Amino acid sequence: MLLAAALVVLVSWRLLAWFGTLRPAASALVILLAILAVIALLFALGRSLLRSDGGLEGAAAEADRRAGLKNELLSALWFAREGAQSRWIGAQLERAARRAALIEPKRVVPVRLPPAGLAALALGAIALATLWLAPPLEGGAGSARDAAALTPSRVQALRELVATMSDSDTARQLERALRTLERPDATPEERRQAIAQAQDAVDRMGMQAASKREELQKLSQALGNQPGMEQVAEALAKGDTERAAQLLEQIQQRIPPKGSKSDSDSEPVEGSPQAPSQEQALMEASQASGAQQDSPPSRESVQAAIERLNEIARDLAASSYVNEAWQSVRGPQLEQYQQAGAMTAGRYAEQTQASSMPSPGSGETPMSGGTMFRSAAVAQGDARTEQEGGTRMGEALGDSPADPVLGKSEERLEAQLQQAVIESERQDDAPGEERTWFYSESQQQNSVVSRREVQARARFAQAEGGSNSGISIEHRQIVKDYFMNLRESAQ
Amino acid sequence: MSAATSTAQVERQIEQFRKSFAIVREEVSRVIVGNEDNIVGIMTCLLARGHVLLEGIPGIGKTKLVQTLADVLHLRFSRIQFTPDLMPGDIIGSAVVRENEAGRKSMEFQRGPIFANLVLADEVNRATPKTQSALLEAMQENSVSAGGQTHPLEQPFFVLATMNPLEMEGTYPLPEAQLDRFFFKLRLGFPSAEGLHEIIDRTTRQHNPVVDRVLGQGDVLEMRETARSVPVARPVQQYAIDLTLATHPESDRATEMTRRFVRFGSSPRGTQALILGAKVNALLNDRVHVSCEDIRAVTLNALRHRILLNFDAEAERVDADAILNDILHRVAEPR
Repeated sequence: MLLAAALVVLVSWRLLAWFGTLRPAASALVILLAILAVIALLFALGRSLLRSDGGLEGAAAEADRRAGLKNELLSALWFAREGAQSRWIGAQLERAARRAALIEPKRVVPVRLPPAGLAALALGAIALATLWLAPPLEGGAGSARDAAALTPSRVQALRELVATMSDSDTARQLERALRTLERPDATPEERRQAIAQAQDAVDRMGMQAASKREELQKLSQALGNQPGMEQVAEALAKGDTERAAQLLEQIQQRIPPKGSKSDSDSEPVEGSPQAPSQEQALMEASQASGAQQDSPPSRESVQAAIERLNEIARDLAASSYVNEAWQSVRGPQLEQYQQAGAMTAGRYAEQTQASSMPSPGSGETPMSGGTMFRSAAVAQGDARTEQEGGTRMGEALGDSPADPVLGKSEERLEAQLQQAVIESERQDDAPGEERTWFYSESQQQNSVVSRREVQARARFAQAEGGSNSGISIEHRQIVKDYFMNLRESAQ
Repeated sequence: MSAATSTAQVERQIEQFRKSFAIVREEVSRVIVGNEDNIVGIMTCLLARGHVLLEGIPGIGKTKLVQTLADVLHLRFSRIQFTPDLMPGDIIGSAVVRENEAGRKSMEFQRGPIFANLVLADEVNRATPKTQSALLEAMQENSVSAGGQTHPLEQPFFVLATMNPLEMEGTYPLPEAQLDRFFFKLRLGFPSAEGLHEIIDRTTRQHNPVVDRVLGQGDVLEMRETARSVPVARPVQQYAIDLTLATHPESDRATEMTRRFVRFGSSPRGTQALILGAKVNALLNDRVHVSCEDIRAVTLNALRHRILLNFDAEAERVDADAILNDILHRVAEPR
């Protein structure tokens, strides 16, 4: 009994050492099972004690049963206690005494285990030794501690990247989160909040990067029609800001330097914005690269555009690196946090929901179970519609409206055509004479064709109105004439 | 008398008992094929001062068994064939008018066939209840009252009643109160194929087997005294009482089957039969004390006719033996 109790305690302790405190459900189950086992052992112990409480009578009955004496010792004990005297009772007592003298306690109460019991004991010992020497379960407390131990180096790398960021608010938010994660005494709840905070900062940084990419895209479209800037626009369309900066440098070299007056004029006046907007700087550069004799190039504006492009390139690269470094930090932290079991399903869903907003730039959406890639969101196709080109960007949460069916809709023939007849001039036609019939467009078909034409005109107007120039088709000729006249008058 | 002498005397008594019993059984077995348990049961009843009820289909040797036993025991034997027109006087006897040489007339009791040591009441359920009660009264009182006088029956007085369980038409089944007066109720089963071969071999030859009278009246009475001398410890006696109480549906010791199928349980006579039968069984097993195993050995024979089953038991074809086996399985031995 004591051996069994000791075995229960040892196994429970070992299992608890395995699960540690990071798996409360498993630990609670182990403790519950151990308590039940101890209760069962105590019950069995108490029962055996109660059974043996019968004293000599119980012992005599047990000896009778084990030695097959047919209640001889029990009867003899009762006769002896009662003090009954008769020849038969005396004979019975004498017989019982002789029989009791022949009883071997080892045979009546054997202490040896049967062979099967020995085999079971040996197997149990082997199983216990295997259980004891086996490595901890995968994903247990040890691996969680290892994951936590890797955190400082990764955090340091992330911190260095954050230092290069231009957005100070985001950097401060990330720094606070990293400090919390670095603290060894941080509670799981604090770690969860820090992870959510850092994720929020990284997402915000991603949003800013995506906004810059979008600006570059628009700019490339704007520069696409400017002579001499095609390569720059192409590089910007590809997102290669370094290449665009190099091309602008080449353009800058072709621009002759201005005189001292103009140099002094071009110096930034105190109080004026130091960094012109990107579009403004590039538009000036495009005008300069137009090789127009009457529009002297401005090296300063081109230089500002180059610096701005370089700054954007740095920010984009930093955003990408920070995102990558954060993912390497966040993964083990989240794993450790999940192993701790302190993250409830609701909070996990809340966290994943908070970070499941699609990135406007890349279209990637981090979701539980992986990342949904939407690289097609920024791809440019030659197809007439987004649907045909496969570039239609839907909602990240999958709430996109259904697309119309491609191709012409099928109409029933009787809906498209109607039967018409040419009235004969002869009035005396026989009633059964065949008339001349033909088929013409039905009224329904006419309305369908008209509706399609209206839709096509509206779609064309919408497409033209939404073009890069931003000038509707009805005003385009007017604008064009205006600029033509203006140029001619200038000449 | 020293203790050693007393013990030796007891040992001799036991040895003599077992030897006599074995001789009787061996002699009976020369005529009766099989039915070893029933032979032991009948002998147990005889030595426990009881009477036995034999139940079995016709032609399986009930009467032959009793006749053989009477021949072996050298006891006065009488057989009464019970019929519906059998009167009590036909059993116990009647007073007749006698005229002596002087011409003086007087009433004289003419003893009936019940005045014997071994009485075979064949097909006892065919007589009227009035006649049955006359027999059963003699069984209980060991005496006969007739003509204002009581005539004691000679000991050993042992009644073996047979009953046919098949032909129930025109019969008068024994009421429970009278069934209770039988010590054992034995059931004779149909012999096996091997037993039938032996029966044919023994009974179709030119000479039937003949038994010797190996035991006299005094020997039987001595064996009866020996059987009564076996002591019973209280825990073992408690076991017999527990078994009896377990047959009573209103008892807290009743089993589930008892509560469901039994209408009335065994009477105290059942407990007496358990103890007395167990004593004989203990001697046969060379024991000076009664054990629970001895009680279990006689439980079915001693209690099966003392349990009155209800309608549910009859509807579900549950007999008394099934209930008693369940009780034996559930009632624990003393510890």
